[in-house]
Formats: sequence, structure tokens, C-alpha cells
Amino acid sequence: MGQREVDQKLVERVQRGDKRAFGLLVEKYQHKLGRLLSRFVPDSSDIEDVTQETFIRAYRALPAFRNESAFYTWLYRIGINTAKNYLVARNRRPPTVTEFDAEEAEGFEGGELLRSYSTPETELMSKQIVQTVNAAMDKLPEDLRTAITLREIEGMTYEDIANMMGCPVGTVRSRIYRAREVIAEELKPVLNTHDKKRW
Amino acid sequence: MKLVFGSVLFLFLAPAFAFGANTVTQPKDGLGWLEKSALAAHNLNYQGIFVYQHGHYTETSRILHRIGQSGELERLESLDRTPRVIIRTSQNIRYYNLDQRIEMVEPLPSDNAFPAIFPEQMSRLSNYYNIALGPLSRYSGLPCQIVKLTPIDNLRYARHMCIGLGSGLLLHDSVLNSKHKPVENLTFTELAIGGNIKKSDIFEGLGGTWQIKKSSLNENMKGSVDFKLEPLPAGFHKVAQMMRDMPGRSQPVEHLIYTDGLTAVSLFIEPSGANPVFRIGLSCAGVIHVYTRIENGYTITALGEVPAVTVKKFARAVTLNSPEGNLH
Amino acid sequence: MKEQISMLVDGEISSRDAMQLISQLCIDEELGRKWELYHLIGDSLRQHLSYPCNLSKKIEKQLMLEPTIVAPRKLRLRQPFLYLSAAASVAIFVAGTWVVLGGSPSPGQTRLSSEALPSAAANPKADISPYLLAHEEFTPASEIQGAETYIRSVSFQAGASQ
Repeated sequence: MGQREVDQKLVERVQRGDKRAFGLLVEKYQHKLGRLLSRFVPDSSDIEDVTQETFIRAYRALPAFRNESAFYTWLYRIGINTAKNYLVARNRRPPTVTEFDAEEAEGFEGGELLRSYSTPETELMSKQIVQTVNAAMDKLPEDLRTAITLREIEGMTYEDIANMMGCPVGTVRSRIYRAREVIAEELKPVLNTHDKKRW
Repeated sequence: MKLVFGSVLFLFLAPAFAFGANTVTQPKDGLGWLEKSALAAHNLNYQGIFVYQHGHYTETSRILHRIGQSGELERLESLDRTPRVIIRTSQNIRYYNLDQRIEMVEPLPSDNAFPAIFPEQMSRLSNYYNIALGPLSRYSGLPCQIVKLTPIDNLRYARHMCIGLGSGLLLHDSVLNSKHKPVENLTFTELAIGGNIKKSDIFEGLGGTWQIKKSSLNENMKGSVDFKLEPLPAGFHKVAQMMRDMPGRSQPVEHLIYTDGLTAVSLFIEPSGANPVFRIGLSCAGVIHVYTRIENGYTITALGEVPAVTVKKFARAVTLNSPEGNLH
Repeated sequence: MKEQISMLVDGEISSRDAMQLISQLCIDEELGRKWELYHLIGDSLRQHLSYPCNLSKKIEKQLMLEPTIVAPRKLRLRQPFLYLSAAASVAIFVAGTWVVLGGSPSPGQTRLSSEALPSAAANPKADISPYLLAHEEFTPASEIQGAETYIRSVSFQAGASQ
């Protein structure tokens, strides 16, 4: 069916009055949007605010969304505009080119300068999530790990993965699902400790 | 589809998530990485979001690339400027201004030499750039290999490219000025490789009627200007020459392109007229240096993403005969 | 059912199944958690978690104060708040560089060289963009970059025309 069609179905549900469906879209795009906006917003403590504002503006504009473009393209446009408004309102400029020089960051973890977080709490949680996910990945049987890597990191379709791994699409589907379930189990305790309030 | 799978399979024979560069399929040196990257750009389906910055200017774009039976198709659309889409096919480039519903088609020369002479070009690069491997890095969540191109002279800029370990796609590209400070970069924030990109995805939103604006290329005219260009700045060679009818210009403009394999300098020669387009002397258009001078009734402009000294050298190396002239 | 959530996350599900599943997803809390967890895993693997945005609960709270959308196709929303008005854009964006509101434009922002260089157009009416576009087709780096290379000339053109 494709990501675009899934998004469109969710959007239609929001347009018919289901706010929870919008929450699902938030969960899908919040981090990708945050990554994009971080190139515009110099203060990492503000990235979350700008991202949140983007989603609210998108919700308000959603009645007028017509599927002429993909939802995420439309969302990103709103995000960039929101980030620019935010800069203008604070008499700021977008970060200049020099701030993204890969050589200023350390080796493998560099490239995209990992920003300092807004609170030690969120920093700790994010670090733990990443560590837990990575550890769980390492323990996965190779076929599960390959399948989920090709899907999540390389963004390949089930069909392409099936051709790559020389197995039926159904096997790919099942491997990805099982990989996710294993990792999700590892994540639950981490999330539960952090989120009396949240998760 | 087979072509895509063939090349993708080759690239991923080693575990795709092997973050080291020690596998059989990985290139051995910087030049090898550049070759891999050039191939990947043509041979893979991909779509992504990238941010282009120079100075404080930024522009965010979405790109789709599709390889199919009829060749390559590419879509570049702006996410934050005037709604604008560029479609590139193997025959032409089409520019769409969505607000004004204007379409301009620019044919690519049928003897577009770049793909054909590509391997020769790549190795020529080493004559004028030191190509070295940098550390591993990460962009858009994908591990990549930094390749550093350092010019051996002051006629061109340095560049740092970061090339995806698995796919070979260029994830990040920085141009550095003579003080080794980045003046512009291009970075992917999201990239999905492979998958089924439909033609309708490429041409989305471009149906209906468009006001057609003519391209400036005049394929029927031959060059008519008598001139010499010497000495040719080191490392550059001519790759194309054509005539163009530029808007608002009463006479056609001669357009020549020189390249060192990585960057290009364009030379425009036209009879000087009443409405000058370019400022005389040295100027800039974003990160492009421009140098314009007048000689014997002709306006000569050199421009390119090169240091000022280079465009000066190009423009000053041109010697012309006067319009009434007779010499060779 | 849970395996279907995994498929939905990947967009690898039939249209009919998706409709049904989404209905379930919106009311079943446990399924909703799966959706959230699977996306969290994907974002973590893609290193997106550098930018923590645990927003869905915050936003859902905020959305409770927002009007529920009804009959979307009949609503006519005013566009202006989505985009900076053209006039505002011009004030803010001059000759390809950002200008701090209230400050004066300085053309030499890009620091190509130590001198501040004037803009290449001979006068405000001169249009150099066709020359830049003609140039951009032949940049060899486009072999590696693909169409991204066009951004250099069209970005300048777009800026100048505003």
C-alpha cells in the first residue's frame, strides 16, 4: 500500500474528527521532523518547542490538506516555515555553515553534532533507549537483524529485502516483526522507569 | 528492476550494516569511493530530504531518483522557497514554477560527454586534487566514509564529501574556501534507498497546462566569435561549446564550459550592448565568483564555483578580434 | 494483529486491511503502544533520537483544547498563517542571504574571499539567472550529486526574484 497511503488514511481519519489518529502521525514523524528542524534552530532546547508548534499548526491546517503532496512533505514545509518564524521573532539567523563541519565532531558518532539536550532527564532516557536498542540488535539472530536493518536503516521495501535475502516476502515480514518484538521487550523496562508520567 | 537489484545486490554482498570499510566490496581509496558514488547516483532508486546551506542561506529540498527501462528520472522540489520543481531526464531538464505555472525545457546536448568519459575524468581528478580518505562519520542516520579533496593549487576549492558505506550515495558535501572554512554544504536529513518509485511520483502535480518558456539554447547556430583562450588555467579542459539566446539580449551569446573534473567554469562571450547584465570586474552570485571584462566590443564573463583568481584568469586569457575584424 | 501493526508501520499492507487496522489502532491502547514503540525503535536505529521529541502526549493534551475537525472539505482556512507573506519574505531575505530584522543587508555574507564582493548583477533590473542556470548543467560534480547540484543556481535565482 505504501507509506503515503497509510498517512493519507490517518489524515482522513483526523479530518473526520479523530484526534488520536493525529497522535499516531506525531509518533511517526516527530523525530524526523526534529532532525530537520535542528538544522535551523540553533538552540537545542528550542527544537522540541518548534517541533511541537509545527504539529499544532499542521493540525489546524489539516482541514485544508488535499493530498496533492505527501503528508510529510506538507508537514516539513510547515516545519521549515515555523522554524523561520521562530528565528525572525527572536532576531536570530539560521546556524551558519561552519556549525555543521563534520570534522568538529568525533569520529563515528560525529557528522551530525549530537546536541546537548534540554534536560538531563531526556538526555539520559534517549541514551538508554539507544543503548538498549543497540544491545538488543547485537543479540538478535542474524536473519532478524539483517531484515530489520535493511528495512529501518536502508529504507528498503519488503520485496527488495526478500530479493536481497533470497526468501519469500512473508518471511521478511515475519522476521521484521519478530525483531521488533524482541527489541520492544527489552525497551519496556527502560521506558517504564522513565515514564511514570509519560509512557 | 533487474538492473537495480543487480547493483544493489553487489553493494550489499557484505552485511549491509558492516560499519567498517574492510569488506571485499568496499573501495580501497578516495578515488574508488568517488567512482562508487557516481555510479550509485545513477543506478539506484532513492528519495530523500536535504538541506543546502551557504553562509546563512538555507534551502530544503526533496529529491526522488528513479532508474528504469527508459533511463533515469529525477525530481527536485523545493520545500521552502517559491514552489518549484526540477525534473531531469536523460534528454532534458525541465524547470517548473508552480505559482506562475511556467515550464521551461532545456535540452541536454545529445553528445553529453560526461557519462561516457567518466572513468577518464575521475582519474584526471587526481592530477589536481589530493584525494584522501577521512574518518568514518554519519549523516541521516547512515554510516558514511569521508573523502577529502584538497586542491594542489589555488585555482579550485577543497571539498569534503561523505559517501554512504552501503549505498555509495553522497550524504553530505562541503565546499571549503581557501582558508579551509566551509562556505557551503549540502546534507541529507533523510534518505530511503531502493523501493518502488513510480513515474507518477516523479511527475506529481505537474499535469494540466503550463505556459512554456523557451530555453536559451540555440541548437541551430554555430559559434561566430573569433577568439583564443590561452593560457588555459591549469587542470581545466573544454567540454562543451554552444550558442544561447539569452532573454533580453539582442544577439546570441557564446557559452563555453571548462572543467577540471569536479568543478566547472562557464565562459560567456557576447557583443557588448546597451543593457549590461554583469557588473564589470569581480563580483559574486552566492558562492559563484564572476569576472567580467570588455574587449574589442565584446563582453567576456567567466563564472564558476572557483576562487576569484580562477575566473579572472579565464576571462583575461581570452583574446578577441574586433567585430569588424579579419584575423585568425 | 500485532504483526499487522508492523506491516502498517512499513506501509506494506493492503488498503482494506489498513482501514480496519487504523480503526483498531485509534481505540486500542495496547496496539497504539506497539505503533509508538516500533517507530521509536526505527528512529533509534536511524539516530534520530539525538533530537528527543516525546511529544505525542503533550500534543494530545494540547489538541484537547483545539476544535475537533468536522466536515473538512467545507471548511475554508485562511492560508496566510502558513507562509510568510511575500512582503515579509523580501524584507527578510535579500540577495540570497538572511538579514536580521532591523539590520542592514550586507552582501558579503558568504565569505568566499576576504573581500566583501558586490553582487554580480550590473543593476537591479539585470537578470543573470539564465547564465547561472546554463552554467549549472555542466558541473561535473552533478555526476556524484545528481540533481542536487541545481540548487546552487536556482536558489540564487529564487532569492533574487523575491
